[in-house]
Formats: sequence, C-alpha cells, structure tokens
Amino acid sequence: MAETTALPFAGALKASRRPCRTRDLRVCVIGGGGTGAALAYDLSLRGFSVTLLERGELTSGTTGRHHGQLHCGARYSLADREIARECMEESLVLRSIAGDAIEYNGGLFVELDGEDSGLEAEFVDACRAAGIPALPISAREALAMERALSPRILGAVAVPDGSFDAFRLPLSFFAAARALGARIRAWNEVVALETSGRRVTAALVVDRSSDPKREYRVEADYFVGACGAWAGGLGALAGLDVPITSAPGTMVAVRARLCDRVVSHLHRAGDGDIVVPQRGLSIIGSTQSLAASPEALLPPSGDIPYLISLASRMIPSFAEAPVHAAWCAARPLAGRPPRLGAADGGRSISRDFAALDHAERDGLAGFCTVIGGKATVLRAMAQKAADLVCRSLGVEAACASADYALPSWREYYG
Amino acid sequence: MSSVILRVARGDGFADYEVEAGALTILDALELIRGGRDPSLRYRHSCHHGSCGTCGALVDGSERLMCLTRLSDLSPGPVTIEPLRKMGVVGDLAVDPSPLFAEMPEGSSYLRASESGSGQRLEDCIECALCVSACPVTRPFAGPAALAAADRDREERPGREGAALAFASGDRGVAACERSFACSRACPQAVQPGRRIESLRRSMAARKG
Repeated sequence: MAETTALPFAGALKASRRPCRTRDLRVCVIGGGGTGAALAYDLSLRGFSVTLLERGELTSGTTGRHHGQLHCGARYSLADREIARECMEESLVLRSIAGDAIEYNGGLFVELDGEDSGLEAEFVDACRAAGIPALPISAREALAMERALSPRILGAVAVPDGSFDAFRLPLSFFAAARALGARIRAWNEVVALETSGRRVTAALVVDRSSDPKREYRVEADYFVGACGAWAGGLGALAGLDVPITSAPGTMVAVRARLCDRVVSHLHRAGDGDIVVPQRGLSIIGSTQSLAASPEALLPPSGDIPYLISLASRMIPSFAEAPVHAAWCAARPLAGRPPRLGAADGGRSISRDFAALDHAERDGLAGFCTVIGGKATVLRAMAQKAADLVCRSLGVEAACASADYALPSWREYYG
Repeated sequence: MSSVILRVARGDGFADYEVEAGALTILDALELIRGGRDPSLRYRHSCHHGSCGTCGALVDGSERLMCLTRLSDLSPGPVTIEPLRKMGVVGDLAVDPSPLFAEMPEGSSYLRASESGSGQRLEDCIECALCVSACPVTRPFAGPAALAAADRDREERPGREGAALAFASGDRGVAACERSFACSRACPQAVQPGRRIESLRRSMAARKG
C-alpha cells in the first residue's frame, strides 16, 4: 500500500505552497456524484476556489447505486489492457486513501464450463500484462476459499478485487474538499448557463436546500460538467450536443453474505457475471440495455429471476436467499451506439472516459464535460479533468489527490 | 397492481400522488413522481438497496427505509410519508442528518471481521438515523446509533474499551435511555441498539465491580 499522510488543513496547505496562480481562479463543478466529489477535492488541493452544485442529494444518480465492486481491472483485461491497468492502479490508490470504506478481500474468476477453462491462460496473461497479479487455482482451492461456490466449477483465477461502500467513498472526497474550503451545495440545480463572447461565464442556480427556494448566479472562470449520464441535459443548456449514452443495468441484492471475495464469471462479457458481497448482502450485477433518458429508471421485472438464475450458476445458494432489493443504475457511456436498440446494449462502447474540451470541440471556452468512466477510476477521471482546467486557464498545479488519506465520510456532515 | 395513494410531505403541507405501475417500493414510486409530475420533489436517496442509509422516512408514523418498503405491504392508503424526526430540515422528505453524525463517537470502528472469519467487512450500522428518529428520549442524549457504535468498539477493539465506556457514562450517555427499545424495532439492519445500550450498562457495572 502506498504511503499517505493525513490531509493538511486548508490554511496549512495554502501556506505551504509556492506562490500559486490558482488561488484566485474560480471553478464551478456541476454534478455531485463520485466524479464531482473527486474533482472538487482535486481542484481544491491544487488551490482553486471551488463551488460544486448538485440538483438533488449528493450521490443520488449513478454513483450510489453502484454494486460496489472495487475493480482490480481483471474484468477489462481481455477487452482493454489500458483500462485494466488503470483500474489496478486506482484500486490501490483508493485503498491507501480511503481504506475505511473498502472491504478488501480479493476476487475469484470462476470457470463454469470448458469454454471458460479454455480462456483461462489468455485471461491470466492479459491480467499480468496489465500489472494485475492473477493466480490460477484449482476448483478445490477455490471452494476452500469460498464455501458457497458451486461444486461444479472447473477452476478459478484469484485476483485482488474488493468491494466498497458506494456512498461513503465519495462522501470522504466531499469531506476532504469541504475541509479545503470548497463550497459543496446539494439541492442546488443549474437551470441555465450564461455565455459571453463564446465563453461560459455564469450558471443560474435554483437553491432548494431550504424553503422558500431562491435563485442566484455563480460566476466562475471555468465550468466542469460532471453529471454522468445526465451530461446531455447540461450540455443542452449551453446549446451543445454532448455524446453520452445512458446504459442502465439492473442489480439484485439478497439477504445473505454468501462470499467475502467478489465472485466473477470468467468469460468475455455478459449479463449477471459478478457477485459482490456488501455487509450482510450479496449483490448480482448486472444487465445492460440502452435508455433514452437516465431519469426514473426502474428494473424490468423479468430481470430479477434472470439475474438470480445467473448468480446461482456461480453460487447456488444465491437462489435460496430472500430478495432484499432490486434496482437500476444508468452507466454513463462516452459515445453513441450505432442505434438505440443495439442488441449488445451498448457493450461495444468503451468504458473509457474523457474530458471533452468544449473550446476545442465546439468553440465554447470555459467549459468541459467529463464523460464515461467507472466508479473505481473516479480519482483518475478527476485528475484528467483538473489537468484540462489547468491547461485551459494557463496555470500549472500538480495533482496531489493520491497523496493524502481522506477524512471519514462522517466529517462531511460533522 | 392495486392503486396506492401516497400522501407526501410537500412544502408546508402534503401532496397526494397515485402510484404508477412499475414501482415496487416507495422509493421507486417517488422516482416516477419526480421523473414526471413533480420534478422538484425533494427526498434523499443513493443506493436503492438499504446500504447507504439516506432514504429514511416516517411511513404512517413508523421509521422505514423507503427503498426497502414494498408497496405491496402497504394499506391502499392514503399512506402518509413524512421526514424523519430530530434531523435538520431541508424540505419535503429531505433532512439534513448532521444531528446523527454530531453524536458519533470519534474514531469509532468501520470495519470488522466478516462472518467467515477470513475476511473483513463493513460494520452493520448504515447510519440511517431511523433509531434516532424513533427514540422517545427528549433529554440531551447521544442516541442509540452512537451508543451502539461505542458498544461495537468496546467489543471489537479492546484498546478502545475505556473510551467507549467513558462515552457511555458521560453526560449524554446511557443514563438517559428509557428502555423503550423503539430503536431496535426501527433498525433495518438488526443492529439492535437497545440491546447494545444494555450491554454498555452491564460493562459499566462490571468495571465498577
């Protein structure tokens, strides 16, 4: 685990810095999910004056509904080595800076049939090429590690996966950002973006954090959209077409902790191939489809028995445990599928992320949008976006978000 | 599906909403309402599976997590839904949970050994404040969530036993508890804060000898 130190208080941090040009620059982050949380923190560490606006409660979009797998990257190793490598690196960073929010017990990729076993060597090679220490083990060894596994598995590969609390992890970033002086404003919705001379200059905000609501303007030197699957709506406020695809997935939780490790199906890709333990629950994820809007997504009723049947191939007792909850989360995919009804549910769209520079792309300065990505790489997404903010504003300030242990999420409310 | 009417705290009063098809839980129903008829309705939510502890509310007067309360278990209604008690006010069903977090003992534990004994896992308490809302005590009181956390510390981390018992014996400690056990009935995670408070009392008595 990397060495980290306690986060310095805002005053000490600012005093310790070289004369820095970021201090008087205002950045407005729009979107209070995991990416916005990590970005508010990263920018605050770099010395910017940060305001984050979120229309509802923090983490109420896709972030909180994540099944909680801390990806070591093995799941992506066959399809995209760089994403796999990045997951491995970031999972270690998160463990070192937010260990209290993580159940770090490892993972097993299990082989259910001959085709899976035939993939094992390629999978292990791909993991290792991405820096992931994957270790093939026998079915007997796997069953000794996780007794609820199907006795019919043919073999397994052990990897350093984990699971995290999808609410507490981002809350720790918010707590850190606030400790450094960032203004974190939940229940504050951006309803318009003002532009002047092809530059975004202000956001018009409706504050519903108390009654009666009030409207105000936030002027800033730079605006970052971190709205995940909702990025299209924000872009539209500036007259932009942001290429984002909302790809909902269903998850089902049962009331039984059937494993300590994340249990995954060793295959290329498909539905219902990950069982994640979380406190006293086990969660099977996921399906993937495409939706025109990320709003008010509910799980199709057929998904529940479907996912339970897929989970029970890996862990038979999953089907016997009482269903606790079923829900849907909208993956924010960067790009567009060939058509909305694409049979693969958009799986052909990469899980990579990008910070879209609207100055370069659309001729509108002072604004970028973070699109794509996954929960495990939230800190890296923030780093990339903050690097773009620095370049756009012509300042140099290095990223330091991997260097300090984050405060407890309890401090966000404290 | 039988039609259920939700009577939801809204501004200074209540608004009635008929539940739309497709919703399994109260939270699902609110999502459809906010996604359609009433986009500015405020309620807290995050994980949708009883893990984050944000969506607590009073359902016909009883503390529940809305994401785990199935519509099929409710009376045809109207079913009244109100914000939790003893929390800060945002509006509609949304509260500010700061009063809960203000009481939590400093540095109390987050992770513990898992059921199998070979791994680790997060503590059961999801800090949802249902127990605090349900507690009838009106005197200054750390409350059931904070005292349950202290007892878990005492049990799990021997080095912290002294601090946990000092916390429990303090001005806001176990003495104010009226033993109603409303906390244990409200807890969605079977933490049984009432039993934890009794356990602290026994430990305090044993230490006194």
